[in-house]
Amino acid sequence: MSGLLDLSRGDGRIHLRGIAAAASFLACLALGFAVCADALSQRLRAELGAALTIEVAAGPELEARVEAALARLRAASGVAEARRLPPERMRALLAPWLGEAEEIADLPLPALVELRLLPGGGFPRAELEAELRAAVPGLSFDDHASWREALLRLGLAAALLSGGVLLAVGLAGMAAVALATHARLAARREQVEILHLMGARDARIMAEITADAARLGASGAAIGVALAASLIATAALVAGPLPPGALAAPAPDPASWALLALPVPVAALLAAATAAWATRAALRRMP
Amino acid sequence: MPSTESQPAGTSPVVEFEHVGLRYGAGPEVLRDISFRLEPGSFHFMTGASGAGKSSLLSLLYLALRPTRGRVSVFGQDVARAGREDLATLRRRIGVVFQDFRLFDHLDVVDNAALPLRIAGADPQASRRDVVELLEWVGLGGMLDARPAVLSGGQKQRLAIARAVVARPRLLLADEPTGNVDDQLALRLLYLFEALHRMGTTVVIATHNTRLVERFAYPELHLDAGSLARLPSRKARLL
Repeated sequence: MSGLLDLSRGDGRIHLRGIAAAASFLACLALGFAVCADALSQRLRAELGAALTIEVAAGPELEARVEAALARLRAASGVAEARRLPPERMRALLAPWLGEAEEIADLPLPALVELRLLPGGGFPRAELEAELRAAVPGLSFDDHASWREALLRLGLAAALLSGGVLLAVGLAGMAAVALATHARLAARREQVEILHLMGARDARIMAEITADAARLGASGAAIGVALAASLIATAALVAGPLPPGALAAPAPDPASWALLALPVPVAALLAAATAAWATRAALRRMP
Repeated sequence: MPSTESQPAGTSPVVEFEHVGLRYGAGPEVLRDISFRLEPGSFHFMTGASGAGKSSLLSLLYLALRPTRGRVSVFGQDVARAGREDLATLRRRIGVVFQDFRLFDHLDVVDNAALPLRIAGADPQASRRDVVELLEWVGLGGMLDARPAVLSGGQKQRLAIARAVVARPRLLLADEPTGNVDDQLALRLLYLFEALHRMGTTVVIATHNTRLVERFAYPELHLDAGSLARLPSRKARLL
């Protein structure tokens, strides 16, 4: 059975669906950015948290001090691997700052030991650090705390940015839905007046407009999300796989990807709530 | 035909106007100092020249407008004090036939006629038989699925009347309900209004059709330049 109001006509319908599609497209991209940034930040922090770098300062008996440290580290619990960074790798790391001249080989460089920890903990970091500092002169631990903190801040900044975009898109979408609802009501003013004169309550009229706005919001948002998801997938294809040894590509879990569909119910809810508010305000001004 | 000139004393009126005035914006008063009562079950013609204020008075009666002065009371409720919910409740007891029909183009004939029942919360399936019967009575039985766009002026008018009476309103207001139909159908429609009147509905019909007004022995609410005079039926005046 048809509704009391003729809401099937084109005026305003296309606008509402278009607004929902555009807002959801942007929201989906913002969510995708936030999801990827969060996944990347978490993964890098996890990788950094599972590794330590131990520096043994340059000086006399460097090789003996490094070997002593390595022996103790390899015997410690929770250690997956402890290995010295080869000198050529050290030089390669320093090349961007010091150049590749032959003289660099004569520079007194410290030795670096890379320590990879087993997942699940068990590495007695504080005790071992104290013991090694006492036993091996010039030894220091670097747990990459500053990097991890920076990554955490980066993740938060990405989330904040996405949140700002989502808020702006949501507010702009609501404003546009309110305007479209006013336009739809204005086009049906006579119908609404007749319904009022027959005794229709505002709630009944509002319910029809709200339900229709929710339907249009959901269908428009589905289009926007589908387009955004296609764009994200296309971008991933264009970027191609990362080369071996490069930074880990963000790999969000399926639940995080499911977040990208969130604009559909949210758009439906926001469209319905905004349409209800705008309709209520407009009906109050009618006889 | 029942006379409505005299009503039992002490009955509370369906409509009561006390010194009512109406103006649109800052314009002149289109209705001036109007006072009258419509007793339950009464039948009146509303007459007057074009521009005399018939449509404005009807608008006040069907609660589309509020007076700019004076007091309007409908079913014992002061309209000025009625909230939106109260107005909706009052309006459900009023049937209106608009001069320009105001049908809903997206609904078929049955759904248009059933609109007041739907608004009142009646089960559409349960009430369909009554609606169809009424539509057959007004001669639209063969057009149940048609949309208003394909109906003639007379058919639209009959549909508008069916819609106004389908919920058996306590007060029926009709603005030129016979303006687009032939005399025979006009009579038939007046008999429908009379049938409702006999069931206790208070009826007010605004019309220019003097033949109908002369034929039926009902009093007139006569408007002249915004002022109202209550006249006895033309039949009574001619005697």
